Amino acid sequence: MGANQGATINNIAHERVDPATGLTGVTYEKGFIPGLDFLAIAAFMAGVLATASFLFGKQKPGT
Amino acid sequence: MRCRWIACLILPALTLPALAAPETFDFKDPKDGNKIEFKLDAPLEKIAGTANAVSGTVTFDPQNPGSTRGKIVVATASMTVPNGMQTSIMRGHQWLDAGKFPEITFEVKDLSNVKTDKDKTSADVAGIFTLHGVSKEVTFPVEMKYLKDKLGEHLGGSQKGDMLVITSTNFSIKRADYNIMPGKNLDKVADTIKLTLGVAGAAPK
Repeated sequence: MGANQGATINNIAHERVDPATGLTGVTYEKGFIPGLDFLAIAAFMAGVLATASFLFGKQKPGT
Repeated sequence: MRCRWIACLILPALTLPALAAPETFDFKDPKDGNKIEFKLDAPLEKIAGTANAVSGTVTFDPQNPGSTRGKIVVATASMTVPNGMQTSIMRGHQWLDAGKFPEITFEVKDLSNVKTDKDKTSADVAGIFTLHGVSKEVTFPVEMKYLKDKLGEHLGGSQKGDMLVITSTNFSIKRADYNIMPGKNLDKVADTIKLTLGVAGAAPK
């Protein structure tokens, strides 16, 4: 539980214990749980947009 | 009189093979309960995933577990890690090349140090492990559990049959031995791959 501190998860594992054998089988379901790589990309894009806003912002009248 | 004595000796001997008959277990599980886990622990990255498309057959004799023989097959394309892009790269031509090498196999050749306690047998299994087109002799410890008349409970129906569960938690290989990017990316993809086996085969009656 808690925040995903690894890479983004696209294959979500679902485990099920078999009552006869006692083995834990796993099946995968497509999904999306963002990880640190997603956070890094989002922070990078935010920096790009912030930089662009300074370079291409409207000039104040009288300056 | 002599014929009667001979018949008394021969008839029980004829029934012994029926009692000690080996069974052939099919490891293709319709309930996807079979799983092989792999773990790689590199300095910069830990990788953990599973492969669950297991098939193959193993012949097991409850009266003589040491005579176990067979072959387990895993579809390379079923190897999955939680990240989709990493999964695609892992299965791609640079690493496992699932298109060219669609199967990972282990063929049992011999069992040693066989110890049986009721329905559980532990042994060192020796065989040929084939990965990425390279075959090598390997030996690792396994535990086998014979589950008589448990097939119906496994399938959730009335199917009669027995099951054989094979587990192993102490089996490692080195990807360099199987020509999988030898010596490269060792900071993120460890050379040692730890495998954990948990598979069950069915022998319907």
